[in-house]
Amino acid sequence: MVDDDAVSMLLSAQSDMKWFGANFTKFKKEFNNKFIAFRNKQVIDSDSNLDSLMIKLRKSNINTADVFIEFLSNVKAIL
Amino acid sequence: MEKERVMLQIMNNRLILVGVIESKNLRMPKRIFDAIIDTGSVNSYLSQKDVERFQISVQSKNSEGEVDFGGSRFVQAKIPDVELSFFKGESKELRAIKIPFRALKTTKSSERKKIIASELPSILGMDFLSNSKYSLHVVLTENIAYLQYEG
Repeated sequence: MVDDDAVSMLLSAQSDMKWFGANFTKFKKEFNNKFIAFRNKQVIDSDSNLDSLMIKLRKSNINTADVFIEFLSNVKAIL
Repeated sequence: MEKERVMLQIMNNRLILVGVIESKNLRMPKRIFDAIIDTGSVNSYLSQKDVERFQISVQSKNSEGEVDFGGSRFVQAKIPDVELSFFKGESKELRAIKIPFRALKTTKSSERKKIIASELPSILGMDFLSNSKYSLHVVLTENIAYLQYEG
């Protein structure tokens, strides 16, 4: 069975992540040491603190589960 | 017959799988998700960031001890299996795989260390590759990375 919801979510998510990747270097300069929330190829909000960003998004009636949140830093992290 | 390939995104020399996750047991509907494929990790982990993003309640009774990850110490807790869906091959057909994620919650109390812990991404570890029967192929010089189904 084709799950149309999942397919459209995935297409949009892949497109957003490609857009984020294409702008990664620019965003790293612009949002150094910050979390950014993005969706539909737009940065929605940013903050240096994850909790503060979540609060701002929820205040704007944005479901935090419906956006990508990534941390940007010029400092490389080792997993 | 050609084997099924799942293309990965390469960002900052990290391998990223974009998918949709859901869990009936967690009452979590379908959500967009990205994780790093990390062959240095035995298990798969939902980052603290994603635990907060999806508002998953991490119960201390399900704690499986502590784990060091990205230079920070976390409590790891077993959560009900989460189903991860992604495109198989070039088609728009989905493959769905149950992932035994562990959720991470930092043990640190200082603000700075809590922030460092929240920066870490979700991880698909070696358990994901072995359970889902995928092999991992990476050619960084050609900017190509993919999973290949070997089942």
